[in-house]
Amino acid sequence: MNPTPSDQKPEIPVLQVGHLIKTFNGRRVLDEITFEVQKGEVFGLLGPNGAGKTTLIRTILDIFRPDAGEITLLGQRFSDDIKNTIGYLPEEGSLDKEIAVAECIRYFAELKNVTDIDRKIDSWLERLDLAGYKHKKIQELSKGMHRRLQFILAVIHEPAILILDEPFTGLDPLNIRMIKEILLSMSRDGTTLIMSTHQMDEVERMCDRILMLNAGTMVLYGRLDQIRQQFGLSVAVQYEGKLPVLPDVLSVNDSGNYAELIVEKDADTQAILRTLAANVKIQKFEIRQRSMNEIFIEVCRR
Amino acid sequence: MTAKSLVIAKFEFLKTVRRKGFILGTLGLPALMLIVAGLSLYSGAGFVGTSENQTIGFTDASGLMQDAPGFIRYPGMEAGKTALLEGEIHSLLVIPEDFLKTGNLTLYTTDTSLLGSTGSSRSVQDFVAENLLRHENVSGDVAQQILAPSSPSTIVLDSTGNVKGDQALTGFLLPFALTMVLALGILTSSGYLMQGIGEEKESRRGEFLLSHCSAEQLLAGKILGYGAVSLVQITVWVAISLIVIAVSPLSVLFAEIQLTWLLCAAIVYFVLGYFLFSVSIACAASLAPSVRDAQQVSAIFTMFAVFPLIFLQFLLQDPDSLLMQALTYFPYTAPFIAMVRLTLVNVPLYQIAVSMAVLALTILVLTRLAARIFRMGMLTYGKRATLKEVLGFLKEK
Repeated sequence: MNPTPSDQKPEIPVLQVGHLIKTFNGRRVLDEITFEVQKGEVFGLLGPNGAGKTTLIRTILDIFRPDAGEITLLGQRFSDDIKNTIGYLPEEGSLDKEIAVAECIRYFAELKNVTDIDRKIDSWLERLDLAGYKHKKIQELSKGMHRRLQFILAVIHEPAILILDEPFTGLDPLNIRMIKEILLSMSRDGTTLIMSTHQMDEVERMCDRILMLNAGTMVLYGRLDQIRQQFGLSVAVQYEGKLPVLPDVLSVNDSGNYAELIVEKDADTQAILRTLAANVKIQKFEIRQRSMNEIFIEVCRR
Repeated sequence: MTAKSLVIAKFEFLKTVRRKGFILGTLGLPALMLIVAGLSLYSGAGFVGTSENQTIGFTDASGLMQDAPGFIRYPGMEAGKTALLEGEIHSLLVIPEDFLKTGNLTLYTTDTSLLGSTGSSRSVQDFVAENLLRHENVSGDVAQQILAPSSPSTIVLDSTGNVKGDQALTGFLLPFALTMVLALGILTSSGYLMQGIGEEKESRRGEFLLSHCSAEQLLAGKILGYGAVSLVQITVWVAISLIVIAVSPLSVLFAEIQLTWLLCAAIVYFVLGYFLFSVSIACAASLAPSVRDAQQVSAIFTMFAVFPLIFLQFLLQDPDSLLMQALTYFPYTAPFIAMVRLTLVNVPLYQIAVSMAVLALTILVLTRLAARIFRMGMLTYGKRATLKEVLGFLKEK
């Protein structure tokens, strides 16, 4: 598919990926990936397991080197200085359990050339509600605390670009809210967020634009509202009775007295309503844009 | 070397030296050795001395023996046995009439311990030897030399017949000790390196670390950090050994030690050997799925450290054999075999030069390849990388 250029280009994109190809043992895991991310954007990186998201993130981070294509960050090729402007929160991996929380933060902060480390450690621990654990060993932290500590390590150097792989994994609703508020505040301050997740509701709430990969190729790219528009409408029906055959309906997800109908782009929804009214008792009839969850499933099934 | 490598080295160093296992290993081993040495000295003193408890009774039908301090003569077997059973003597020596012909001696004792019986045997041997020498009218000085012969002083000559500048101890002991220290250093640092890398792989921390620094920086930092750990440990061990030597009669021997070219060669081999093994072990550990697997794979490399011991017999028999020459050029055996050969024979200078050049070149090539293997290996979780995959890693840019 052809990449859709962004509607607005206020300045040089913070991340530009052009015709990226990556092969492992003769198998192409990334095939001609081209996209760009603007400053302050919340960018969603989507795709089913094995689509190539992690490989793409690792290539952006210079952990993997591309076979072909080009990646520029803040208009420059990758370097040690550029690496220090990127923050990364991986989905999995645990920290060294035998060391203290403050010592762990200091280590990763020193690796990113952070100045005024002590003040930043205190400030971030306070912000993430971990101040009482500053001198505790990591093994004493709960799973949620461990995840919050990982978040601090990803942002302690105030990155220009923050890459998050399933950022809300292992967090309870309160912690999700806390992290989300920090992320949105960072975004408002100009930090670019690239978020890889399977939680489509979070994508809908947070992302400006998305890139969806499937089997190493780009399948969707662009503004979220435009993509949803492109996929047409769906109809949610709450009913009593037996669902009849309906016109202009592509697929039905029927739960017995509730059904989601995927309809054709130019479907006559009034005709669908009339057919339903003639056959079942309708309790609710809602026409809406298709959810990212529905779009995700449809694209992956293609 | 970059600042990030130094940050990693410092972190790994401090983390490891604070571990209880490290402190216990560093101070515990010499403490254990001191205890064993002390016990041996204490027991040794017991063997030689003939204290009241160690008094030996004897019956002499041969007529060759005279009375001596620590030995009580009994007229017959019965009287001796009674004294033994009543605890007057520690053991009873029975010398038969035909002793000179048969050499048969019998020692009766109630002490079942190994140390007790060994001590009595040595006392009996000295007692019998002294009496035999006296019987043959051998003079006191001659008898003393027979009973406690002097050790010769060795003077090594070079091929022209001149006395070599570096004599046995300075020429052999120190390089040999350095070879052993290298083997020890490799074994200890490889242990820490394996554990460190293995833990990071198991906890899937490698990816996060690689988002902070390059594989080259991470590898260099780890090798430096764990190398420093190993150096501290060996320094403590060597320092304790030197203190023990300094207060013992061995201190005279070490006073001769001078900085010779052989010692310089030992230091060069030590540094080159350490880097070669560290890089190799780091790669092996990064490819293994767990700490346990890493230990198995790395054992291949640590085996090279004990090569001189495996080949010791051939090495001493013919240090210039074709096999030994070949092992001098093979990078993984060069630091050990070359050093031992240097202490035994005059190894041609070109062989040393080629051996060191091969080692340096191998390190150079391996370091370039190691970073790729290490980077990809650290990200291969839960399974052992296949040969095809490793070859694929090497093709990575």
